[in-house]
Formats: sequence, C-alpha cells, structure tokens
Amino acid sequence: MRPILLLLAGLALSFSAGPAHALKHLGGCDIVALAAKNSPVAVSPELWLDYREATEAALASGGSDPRALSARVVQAQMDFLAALGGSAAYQDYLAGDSCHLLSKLNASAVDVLLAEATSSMSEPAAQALGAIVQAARTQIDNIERSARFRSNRDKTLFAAQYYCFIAAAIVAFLPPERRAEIALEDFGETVSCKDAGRT
Amino acid sequence: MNRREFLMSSACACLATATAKVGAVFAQDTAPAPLKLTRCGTPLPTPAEKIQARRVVTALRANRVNFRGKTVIPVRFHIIHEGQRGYLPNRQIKAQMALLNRAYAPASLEFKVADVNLHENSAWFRHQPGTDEEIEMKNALGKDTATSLNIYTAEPAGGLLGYATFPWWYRETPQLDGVVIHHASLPKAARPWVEQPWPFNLGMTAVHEVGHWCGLYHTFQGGCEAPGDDVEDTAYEENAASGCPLNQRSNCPGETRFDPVENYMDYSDDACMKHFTPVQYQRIKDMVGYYRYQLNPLTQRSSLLAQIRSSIE
Repeated sequence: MRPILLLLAGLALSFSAGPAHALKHLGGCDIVALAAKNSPVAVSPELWLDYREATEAALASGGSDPRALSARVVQAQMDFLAALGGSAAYQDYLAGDSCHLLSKLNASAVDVLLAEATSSMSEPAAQALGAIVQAARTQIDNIERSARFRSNRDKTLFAAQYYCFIAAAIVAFLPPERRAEIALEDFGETVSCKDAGRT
Repeated sequence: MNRREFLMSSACACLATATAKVGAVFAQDTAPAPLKLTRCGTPLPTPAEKIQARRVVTALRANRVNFRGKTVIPVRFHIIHEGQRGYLPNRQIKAQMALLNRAYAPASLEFKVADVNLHENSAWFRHQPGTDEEIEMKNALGKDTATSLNIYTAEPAGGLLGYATFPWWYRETPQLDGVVIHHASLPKAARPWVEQPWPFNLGMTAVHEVGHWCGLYHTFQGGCEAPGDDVEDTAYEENAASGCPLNQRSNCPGETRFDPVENYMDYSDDACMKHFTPVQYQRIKDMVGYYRYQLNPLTQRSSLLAQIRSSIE
C-alpha cells in the first residue's frame, strides 16, 4: 500500500509543478490587432522588439512541458499589454466596435503563418513554438468536444482564449513589415468582443 | 508518446483478420467473416479519434460482436466544495443516480454509488479543464478509474457546466479519467447557488457528460459535414441548440429532420433533454464494451475482444 501511496504522491507533485493557467490568453487577440498597419493604438518598435525577445527567451527557457513554456509566453504577452495598459487609445479599443476575438481557427492558415514565423527562429525556439501551438490546439479541441457549456457564447469565449494565445505567439516572430499586414481574420473567423461577451 | 501521437499511430493501424470463440457476453449470429488485411494509406492527422472509433465499430460488426448483459458501474463521487458552496446532500446524489440509471438502462448500464467523498479546496472548486488544478485534483482523488466512474462536482469557471474524458483517452491518461460536473447541475437542490434563471438544474449535465465518457459526441459535432457525430439516427446540426427550439431548427443542406434538440448530447436546457437514440445506445454499448472492457468481467476475459484490440491498435 505504502509504495502505491508514494507513487501517487510523486505523480501529484510532478504534475503540480507547472503553471496554473497555461496555453490561453484572451489579450493575445489585442496584440495581433495592434500589430496591424491601421492599429488603433500606436506601439513603438522597441516594445515589439521587447515582446519578440521576451517570447523567444520564454521559449528557450528549457523544459519540454508545453504548458510550462506557454505560461512564460503568456507572461510575455501580458507584459506587452501592461505596457499599454494606461493608454486611453487601448482602453477605447477594448470598449469599441473594432475589438474582436478569434472564434474559430483556420488550421491550414495557422500552419502557414507558423512556418513563416519559425523560419527566422533558432531551431529549439521554433520547436518550442510549434509544441505550444499544437498543445493549445489539442487542448481546446478536446475541451470543445467533451464539455457542456451554458451557451454557444460561453463556448466561443472559452475557445477564444486559446486561439488568441496562439495567434499572438506566432505574431511575435513575424518580421515587422509582415506583422503589419496581418489581421486577426488571417488566423480564422472572428467575433466582436461585445458579441462574445468579453468583459 | 503523447495523446496526439498515440492517436495518430492508432489511426494508422490496419485491420487484421480476427477470429475467435464467442465469449459469454457476446452474441454471434454466424461464423465471423474474416476481415481482409488492409494496407494503410496516409492517415488524416485529424480527426484521428473518430477514424479510430469507426474502425472499432467496423471491427466489432465484422466479428458479429454484440455486447449483451448488464454492466454494473461503480460510481465514485468526489464533492469539491468551498465552505457551504458546492456541498451536496445525499438526496441530490440519489436523484442524480436515479436519472443516470433511467437514461442508460437501454444500454444495459447500471450505475451504483461506491463512494462519496467531500473535499474542501477552493482551487479545485473553481478549476478549469487542462489546468494544473484539474490534474492535481484528479491525481489526488481519482480512484480505480479502470473499473469505476469517477464523478467530480465543482464549479468550473468559464461558463462550463461539465466536461469528461472519452473512453479512448483512458489508455494514455488513466488518472484523468472521469466526469466533472457543476455542483448546481444536480437535481433537487434546496437553494440556488448560482445566478438565476439557471435552466441546468435537473441533472442532465451528468447524463450528457457520461455520454462523452461512454464515447458519444455532441449531436452538433462536425456541424453539417458528414459524418457529423458518427451516429446515423441523429440529424445533422449546424451548431449547438440553446433553450428548447423544438421543431424549429434545421439549417443543414439536405437534412430533412429537425435538429435533435431533445437529445442528451445537445446543449439545450435540461427540461428539453429527453432521450438518446437507438444508434447512440448501440454506440455506448460498443465503446464501453471495447474501451472500458475492464468494467465487466466478461469483456475483460474475452479473447475475441483482445484479438480485435491487438489487430487495430
């Protein structure tokens, strides 16, 4: 009995070392929107550079657990948005009609954009990016197929967290001129923040 | 090998000839027609699980396997609560079990309470699927997942009423196996703990999630695209229903039937959910008999099932 208990305790410990909220970040969609040429918020090139470096550092921080890696990437995304947090333009964007979220991912489009992003990355970081994108896709796919939500709206908002995280992680590694061409719609179908019930 | 790799490799497995004597739990009309050894094509990366489940059904039918006889499933309730919130009296558990037994009787499944445990833990109470809290909770509490159904009640965030594991996930992540349901979804609650109106308090979330645990998809799985939910007698459905739009919706081209909004595997209000279809019951029998064979001593001992399993996995 004792060895079994020890094994279970060990398993619990090994699983509990990771992040609490990995693979998802609704604010990721804002990052993609702010990258566009017609962005409602001016973002300095230095901030974009910081974001890329922070994301790359997160991916290169080691370990093979995509969830742990993704938590560091989410932190980089949150830091990016925090730097804009006080901006009235960003707050207006969030409250306005141009704020959108991804409601459905276009798998082949994401694959193409991921390949573009990883082409300029170091091999380990590229692999790590691929791994967290895949993990997020698998995770939300599994949840969507096996869960009951109160409504389609709840389901959409829940899934958007994963899709937005993926899009923002990929956008970090696109060259500035390419990043400016990208719109949220390039990653899949979108829904307005208001319709999705984002608060 | 992670779950995805496992599924990919499973999808690539080819059907082989499988013949054996009939186990007591099966009915076999005539001698089994040997399956031709087929050559693998390049498998589609998705939806590999659906392909694999279809292979299972094909192999079972080809071998004239029909699961008969009752399977009694011990149920282990793990009631996660935060103070009084989430605490469930025995009355509610009994009512939920009665409902499960009514819903699954035509599939020859009987659920029996084996264990009820209370756990006060705020992080687990408000967890979301896929997080450390889910893994931690299930590693700490999950018990005998091969031979019982673990039901966790909590208050998952993000508009979730519940979620479950599919039977084919068991092999890779046995410790995560089971069903999680919102505590306010159980029937016969004395007081409302959640915002009102709350049309999800008649116990149908557990029926729905156990449906996934038994291998059923949502009726709107795949939208209007074939093969939908892999069940022929449920109408194609563009997206999930809400409320109870009975005989009102039918948005898929070529679909003459109304959306199956009364089906347990839709998203309708609890009061609207009334039934599974005959083919869903057949699929439940197949998936439980094949993937959850350890629940029943007869399926566990069956050499035919073991042969089929080794031929397609």
